[in-house]
Amino acid sequence: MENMDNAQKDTILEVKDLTVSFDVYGRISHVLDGISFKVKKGERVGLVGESGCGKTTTLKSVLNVLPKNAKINRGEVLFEGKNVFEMKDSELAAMRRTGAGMIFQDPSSALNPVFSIEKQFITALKYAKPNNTPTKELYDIAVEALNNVMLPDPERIMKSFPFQLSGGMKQRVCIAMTIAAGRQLLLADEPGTSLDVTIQDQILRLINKLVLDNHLSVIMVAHSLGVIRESTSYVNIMYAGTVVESGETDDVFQNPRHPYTVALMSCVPKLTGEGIAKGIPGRVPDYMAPPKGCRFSPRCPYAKEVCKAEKPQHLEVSPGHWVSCYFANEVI
Amino acid sequence: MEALKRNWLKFSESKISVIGLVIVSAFLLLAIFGKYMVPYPEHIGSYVDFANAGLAPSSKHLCGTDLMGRDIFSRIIGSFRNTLLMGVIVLCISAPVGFVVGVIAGYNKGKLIDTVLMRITDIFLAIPPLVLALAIASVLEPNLTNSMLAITVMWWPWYARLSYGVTSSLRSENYIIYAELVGAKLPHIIFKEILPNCLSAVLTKMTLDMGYVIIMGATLSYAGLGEQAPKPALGSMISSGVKYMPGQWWLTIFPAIAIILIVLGFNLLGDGISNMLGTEEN
Amino acid sequence: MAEKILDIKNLKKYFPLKSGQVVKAVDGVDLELYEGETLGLVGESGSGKSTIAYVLVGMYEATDGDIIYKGDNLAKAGLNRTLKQRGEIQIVFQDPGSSLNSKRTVGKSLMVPLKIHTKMSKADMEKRSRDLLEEVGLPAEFADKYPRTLGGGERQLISVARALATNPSLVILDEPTSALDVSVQAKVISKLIDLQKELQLAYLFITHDLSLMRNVADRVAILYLGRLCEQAPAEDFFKKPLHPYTQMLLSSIPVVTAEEEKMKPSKVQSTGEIPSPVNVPPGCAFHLRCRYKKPICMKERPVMKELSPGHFVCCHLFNDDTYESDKTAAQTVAE
Repeated sequence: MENMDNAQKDTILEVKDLTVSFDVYGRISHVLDGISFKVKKGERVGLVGESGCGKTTTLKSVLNVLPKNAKINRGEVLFEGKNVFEMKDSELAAMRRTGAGMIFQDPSSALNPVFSIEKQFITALKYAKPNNTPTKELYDIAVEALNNVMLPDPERIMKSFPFQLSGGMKQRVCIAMTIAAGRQLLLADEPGTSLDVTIQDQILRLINKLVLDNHLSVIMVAHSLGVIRESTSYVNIMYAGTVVESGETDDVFQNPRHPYTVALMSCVPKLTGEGIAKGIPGRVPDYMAPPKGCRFSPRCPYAKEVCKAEKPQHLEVSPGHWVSCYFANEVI
Repeated sequence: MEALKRNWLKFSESKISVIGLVIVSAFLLLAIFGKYMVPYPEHIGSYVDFANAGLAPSSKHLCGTDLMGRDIFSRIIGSFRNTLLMGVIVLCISAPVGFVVGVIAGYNKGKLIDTVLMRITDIFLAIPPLVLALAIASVLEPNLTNSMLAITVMWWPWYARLSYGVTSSLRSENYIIYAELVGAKLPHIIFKEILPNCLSAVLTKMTLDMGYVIIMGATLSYAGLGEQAPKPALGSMISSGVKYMPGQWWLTIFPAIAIILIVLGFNLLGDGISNMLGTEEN
Repeated sequence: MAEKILDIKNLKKYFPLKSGQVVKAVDGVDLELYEGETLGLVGESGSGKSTIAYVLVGMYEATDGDIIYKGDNLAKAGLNRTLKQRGEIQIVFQDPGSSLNSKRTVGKSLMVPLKIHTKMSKADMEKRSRDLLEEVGLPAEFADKYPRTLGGGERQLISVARALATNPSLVILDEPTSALDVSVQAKVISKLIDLQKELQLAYLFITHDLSLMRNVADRVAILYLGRLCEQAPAEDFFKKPLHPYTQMLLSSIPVVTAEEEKMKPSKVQSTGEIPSPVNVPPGCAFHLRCRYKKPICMKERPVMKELSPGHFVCCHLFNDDTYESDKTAAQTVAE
């Protein structure tokens, strides 16, 4: 019983069997099909998959900001033990202000171009900190936060407008704003993708450092396997709205077991120069009429009748390494 | 077929645009066949029956009769054909003219020809439209053709602005750049590459503009510069009835309601079309 | 020995700004390209890699320098080049969304170059555009489809087919796969490699992705703020990256295997940001971010030096006069 409690306390976010569909002008698009994963306190969890695999929809579900044509068919998202779909408006607002915060792919559109950083930062903090905290104090918190993201001359940054800052600097400001509000869970949606490689590297290292130093948790969403490998400790590989493989990052990258993960890894160009794979045959399935069984089965070289008939369970194939595949033990 | 169904769903997402479609369809039908459907077809022309002059609305005369004893309902329907004609002709001239001007200027953005064409357009846009139209219509002989001419002159610049905007944003699209690099000629680029991309914006604006052109036409005819008596026109019916307000209110109110309905119809339809075409990309 | 088809000498492209400042997008670049080879031109934003592409296809005139293509100088020609030259140098753009007209069918888009460059009848053009689709591995029925019904990779392959319509000998690939998913990228790249072998095409492959270049390019050239830092045969380049910027770039790449991790220069970490090309630092453009910088780097622009056959570096650390005294520094860098 005590163990249970501890496990509960340790987990900041749990997504259970999340199934979401969208009504697209009368046709139903079955986007997420039973997504489950956990984020422990201080853990860096990755969601990786190609475009359209449901990464962003999952993140939006966590904050309960899905568009109004979305329908949650099944499952729940527990933030600190509370289901976000059943929270009252005030609880939701509190969670978004001080509990979980998003870091977006494009920092330029995350900041308002007509207000100075100071104005935006202090407004954000006003909502996050106790009422009637003096503005001076908020200002100091903001400067401190900008210092923490290693921006030189924070006072000058506070006076700047977004267009005066480079993409990397804007992303640092966004990170500072998310963390200064006291949020414990960061939802990083491709935080370096719109930036140059050298700047992306700096941003990822910064997020890693802040998360480890402050014992924060992060869900890192990316389409790049390399980014996930270098910035997470636990990874969920997603394909077409399902988690096909999950486990310790190093383990999954060294011993991929799901045919999709194996195929995806072979497509990544390597510095060691092993040539280019031919790609994965076929296309991502039509969400309006997804395959009945395993969603990867139409493209899978190992697929048998059973794969097409029924969805495989997510099973532990070695300690801490889970795979949704009937033939996980036969794949290399 | 599938695409048609999806478009209809997008269009009808807002029920109010369906109302617009119904109003506009009714208007079009009445404009074409109204002459044969009205209770008193002969009242549409010069007809006098002082015995029945100035009657209030009744089951015999739905909207009452005017001071010549003509059935107002029949005259309203009878005026629809010219009203529609005015909208169609004005837009069918001003849209293509504006398109060509706008595309040529937008394609040559930053060059001399852009500055010259767009400054001319701006001059037209700077003059209040009604003043310009009144000036033109009053210099020329007051009749339907000249009032159409007047409205056309002040209408094309809007289409020039619109196509200018679309073209200058398409200018940096890679397929336009590719066409240039590979050696395509200007007519190919304008009519094959740019025109199809302008079409939805121009069509939407044309639908919305139908209503405004009709108001403008009615305003000119209210001022006595449009269709001349005894032919019916909504504007002149209102202006001749307005001095008998509020006693013989039906002389004014029914043509006014007709104008309001028509303009509303085209506006709602335009919104629906813009919803339908605007979300096409998603 | 393959024939040299392109020789770029001291290419410069400046853009004057209204404020009177000048953006030196490309500032003295030398490159050569041989028949049937792939040259990878790698750089981050603001490095001028796309500007070089646009000058080569004629969208811009060069400010200075020479572009010798099969004996003709195209540097000042801009769009006034001959139809034959237009056809022989083709380009595939980065963004699959904007490279095809969404209101026209794929077949019609493919017929644009055919109409201009051949005297085929309409039926022949239709047949040829279907053949082109099959040549890049797509079904011929795609000719009747609109681009929006197709995926990004398919659209990029159609752009490749369009480029092939004029029988080019040089195709400039301007980040053709950077907007695509890796599994789709793999399809497009392997098709490009097949086509190159089949048609003896030369590729100028512009990208920011070094790991992709490891697997595609015969030679790699690194650009930083409009200048070349390093140029070498691919094998040599990845075994022994010399320029401090190259090393920073390599160390920043997120990789997926432990073997790759070993290839990354572990001592170097990415710092600083790329300065604006309006204010290129004096001396070596990279000195603000370089951990090996010496006083001379702030004053004097380094020159290109060939250290081993085909391996060029532009860095003061490898300068003749000071090479001996700086040997230790140079060696640390090389390790």
